[in-house]
Amino acid sequence: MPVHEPLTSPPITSEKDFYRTLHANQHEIYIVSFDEVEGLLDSLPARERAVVLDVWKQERRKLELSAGFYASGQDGLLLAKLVGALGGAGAQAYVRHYGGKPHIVLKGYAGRRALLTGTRYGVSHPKVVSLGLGRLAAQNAARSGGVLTIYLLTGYRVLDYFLSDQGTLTQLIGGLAADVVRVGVTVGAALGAEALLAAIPVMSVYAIGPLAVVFVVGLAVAVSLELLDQQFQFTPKLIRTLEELEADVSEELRDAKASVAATLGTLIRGQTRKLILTPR
Amino acid sequence: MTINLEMDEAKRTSTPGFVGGTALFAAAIAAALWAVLAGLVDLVGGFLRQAPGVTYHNHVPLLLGACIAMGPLAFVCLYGVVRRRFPSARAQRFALHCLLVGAVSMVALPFIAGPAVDSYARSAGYVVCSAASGQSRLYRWTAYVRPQAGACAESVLSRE
Repeated sequence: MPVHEPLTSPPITSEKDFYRTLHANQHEIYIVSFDEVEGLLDSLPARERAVVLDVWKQERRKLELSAGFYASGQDGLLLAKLVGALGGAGAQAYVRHYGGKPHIVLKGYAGRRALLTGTRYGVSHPKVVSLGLGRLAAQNAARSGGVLTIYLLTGYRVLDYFLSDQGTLTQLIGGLAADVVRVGVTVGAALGAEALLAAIPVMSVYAIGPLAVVFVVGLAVAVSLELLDQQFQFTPKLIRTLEELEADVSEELRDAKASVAATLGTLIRGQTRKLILTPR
Repeated sequence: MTINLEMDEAKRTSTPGFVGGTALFAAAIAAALWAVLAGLVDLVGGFLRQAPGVTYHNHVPLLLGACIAMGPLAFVCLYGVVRRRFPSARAQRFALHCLLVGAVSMVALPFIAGPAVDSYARSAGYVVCSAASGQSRLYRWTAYVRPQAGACAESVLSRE
């Protein structure tokens, strides 16, 4: 039985192929600064601006919910796809080394499986990775889910900062810092639970186990952290601390400026007096 | 956390990674179970004693699914740490089945429990108090109150 190797992209053989590939990979990205977005919003006519802010008020909760659940939803879909591809939840898979490289060997009748029709695949085979089969693919799913959640939440927070009436920069930074910590803890817990499962002999041979545990632990920890945050108000406390820090630093700077100005004033007065009193 | 999979069970279950991971895992499940029980007691107790205001949180069925999924897995890990060997293959397979059932429950239960609670609350004479209901980033809560003057405002105050 041949061992499946990772697929590579089709080779570019002609100039036409080259330009087609180039056009297919063309993206237009606009990078705008905070000031530019603010300017863009300010430049809108009052009526249109009011409509934009109104739509944002109605949709912000949905967007926040979607950003928070997107990665878990993706893992859930992947899990459902994997069950379908394996022809059931009870399919077994284990890792064997062939030619010094790790491979996932699937047990059972290959004809019952829809997508994974081979009996063994390299751990980095596109089918294995895209379906979340095996430890490596489950770890990839957890990590990429975490990164994606940070991107989505950052986009949401920045939009919310511009489109909310009472948003401050400190709230934006505090909210983002809390999000990054929460996502980090969630991904860490999911990866840790996956490692625990891998150490259990019978449970680790089931192909669906690693992805299932990443999905369950990721979702449960994310919701639990949100509950803890609501209960103990960690994020508002962090924002308050940052605001106090900012106020303290501003006060220190004001005092320092005043002190420098006073010293300079004394020096200048002294020098002027010297100049006046010095006989020519 | 790294666990050498070539080790035998006794060594594997006594690595600091496995012991520490199991302790954290068990603590997380205990916390989730506490949240589920507190939510259930609050909801069911409120309905039973016909409280003027009852709140349904949709994280309760989600975390119930998580407890179904992770409880047996935590038991297998704890058993491994305490006894230096894992439970029987049958028990491990049962834990895996629970993991899958729990994963499905985490998605399905909130969709089933929400309408069920809503239907029961309305039949028991409660109405939704929108002012005291709300949503955080990952879950939402619905406040039900008796249709009497000021009940909704009281519910808002008690939440604050």
